[in-house]
Amino acid sequence: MKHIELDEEEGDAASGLLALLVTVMELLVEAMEREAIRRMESGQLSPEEIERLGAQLQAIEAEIAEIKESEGIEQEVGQLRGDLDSLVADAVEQVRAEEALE
Amino acid sequence: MTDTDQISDADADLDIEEGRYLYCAVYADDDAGLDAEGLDGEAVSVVVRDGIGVVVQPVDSVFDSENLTEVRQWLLTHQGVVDEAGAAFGTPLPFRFDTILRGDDATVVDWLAENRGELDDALSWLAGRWEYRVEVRWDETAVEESVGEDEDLRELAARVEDASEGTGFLLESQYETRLAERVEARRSEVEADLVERLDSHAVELQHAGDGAGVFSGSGGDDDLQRVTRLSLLADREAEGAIGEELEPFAEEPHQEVRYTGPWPPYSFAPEIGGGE
Repeated sequence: MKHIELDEEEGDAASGLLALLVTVMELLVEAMEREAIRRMESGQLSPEEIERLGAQLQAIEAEIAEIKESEGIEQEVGQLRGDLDSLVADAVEQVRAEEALE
Repeated sequence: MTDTDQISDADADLDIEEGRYLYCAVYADDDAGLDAEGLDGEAVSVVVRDGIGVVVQPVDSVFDSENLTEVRQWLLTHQGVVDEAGAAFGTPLPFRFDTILRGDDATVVDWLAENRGELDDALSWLAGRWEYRVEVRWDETAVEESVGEDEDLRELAARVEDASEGTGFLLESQYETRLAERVEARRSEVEADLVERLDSHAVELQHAGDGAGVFSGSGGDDDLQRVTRLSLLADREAEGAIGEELEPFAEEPHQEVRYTGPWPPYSFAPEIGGGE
């Protein structure tokens, strides 16, 4: 079973925690983006709303990128996302293998 | 691993007064021996009872280490011995790394007697069959380019160009999502096609996980990404036919196929003594 390391370098739990927060924010923003796109595609939004929503999400994304850079946690966030990805990928792989063998 | 005398990796007690490390089972004659270097440079021997032998080595502790290089070295040694056994006796039934029986050679003989039926079933099922591994990889950037030729995606790309900033941001995100979906769809297609073509040549076929590339040699030394990886249990005679089925996959532009084997059937070896 995988677990996620917050303080891989000793005493670095604070930056580990920040990295985790930023990771969660990134995932949240991505989910919001997908929802925005879904609404855009289904024609629920006016062109003005689309523009405003897009600009806001873009600004948040830029903000997150800036935090990552100024705090030097780009690598940690990437690592955390990778850990989450492989957790999910393992599960998907398992389901796929089971399906293929049926 | 439920056999009472058998020690699993999780066993906390690292010291064993006397034990036998088990590499694999084979069909062998009473006087069989094996010239191979075991773990820690020790000699290995073959304990035989009634036509079935186990390749063993005496040990007094389990092999456990925090040092990955050391563990890797042990695994390679383990595999080396199993390979030698395969070359000498035909397809071996490999045991998991660090399978240790508490006791001496006589204990091994008892264990052989106890599990005779299971061992014989497994060995006869595996006889003449080997594990083959197939890995398809591609240049994902090139695949993205080719997938992006699709009319739908081209139109979306054009809308990104023409849009104002906020709208363009969302459209671009949408473009990337769709592109990723198309790439994944193509990956699934390649995989399904591969499985379909190989299925008839294999006795069994498995999707191999992301495990360390001990089998597959060094991966990640180039810019290619994995499309799929399969393990096949196949008769030795099917080796060429499998290779032929792989040719069209290797001929695809930006795509590469790795075909390795014969390996001892690690992925297909049933566990012995587990049913008690």
